[in-house]
Amino acid sequence: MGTFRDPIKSGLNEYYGKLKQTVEGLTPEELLWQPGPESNHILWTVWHMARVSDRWANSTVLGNEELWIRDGWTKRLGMSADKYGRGETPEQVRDFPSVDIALVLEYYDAAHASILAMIDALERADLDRDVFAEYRQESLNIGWILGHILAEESQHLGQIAYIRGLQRGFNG
Amino acid sequence: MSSFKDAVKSGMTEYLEELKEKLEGLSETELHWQATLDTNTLIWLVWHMARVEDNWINKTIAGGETIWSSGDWARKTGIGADGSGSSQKMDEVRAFPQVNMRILISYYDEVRCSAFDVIDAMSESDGNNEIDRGRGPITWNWILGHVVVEESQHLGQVALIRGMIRGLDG
Repeated sequence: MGTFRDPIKSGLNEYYGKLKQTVEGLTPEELLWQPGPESNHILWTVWHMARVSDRWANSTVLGNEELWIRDGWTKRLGMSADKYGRGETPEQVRDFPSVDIALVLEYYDAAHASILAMIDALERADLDRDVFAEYRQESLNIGWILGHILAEESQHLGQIAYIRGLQRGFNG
Repeated sequence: MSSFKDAVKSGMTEYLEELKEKLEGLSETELHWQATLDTNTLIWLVWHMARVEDNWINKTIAGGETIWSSGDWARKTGIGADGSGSSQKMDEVRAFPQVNMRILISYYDEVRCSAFDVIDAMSESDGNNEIDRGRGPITWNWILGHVVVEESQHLGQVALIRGMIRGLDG
């Protein structure tokens, strides 16, 4: 602690640490269980969260190739390069492949580390800079993006914790 | 946006705006629905979110009174509980009173207004100020990040519960 970047970095580490705890010990069946026919399951949500971090940091802000593609995760997880999760139908969520969550988390570790490194490299003036988010077709401010990543990823974490609670009860 | 605390404020604005959208049009019955005996209701979550932000920023960081107590919101909302809900038992969640959501949101808006004043008044070095609530020292910077993470988690739950009740487009 000790720099102006700390609230954001601390929040990112907090939600990510809690995510790891929240998925611990879940069976493949629990990971794929949906509380309603149109609800996401935990495995899909974790994968989508990793994709969100990767895309915002590496593609939208830094303008590089996503780790998803650059590091061969599409092959390792057997998914297409453009698969991201936003706007998917309930059928697509239901038919999500039962991939090993350890592999998804390995990808997520890399994406999470890349965001932290990106923040360390940002200067104060960068926060005012706009970047074009291609998949959303809009220009967004880097400062807004940082707050948004924290809010979006934490929302998904809250959903995972809630779905675990539905399955395992209060202390499960 | 010229500082990272603006990024925090932007995240806070985002989750409160989205919360209001997610609550739109829900009936009393839906607001009090429990998915299982161990899960929180929507109305309880909204109250808890407002209390959490009030406690962390207006009381813990600013060192003053919460808006809940200075604004006499226990009386205005009819909620008798002292705390913020953090360690409540499930029977307390179930016994949560019928509350007017608009009044609850007015309380949240006042909390937010005050919280932004507190954050605006923080200098960069203030972020390193430490407090100890009995579980080891935490900094004000930690609290700012934590507020966005905790509140957004609850918003995610609100959205999920709405989806369970209404489906994807409901």
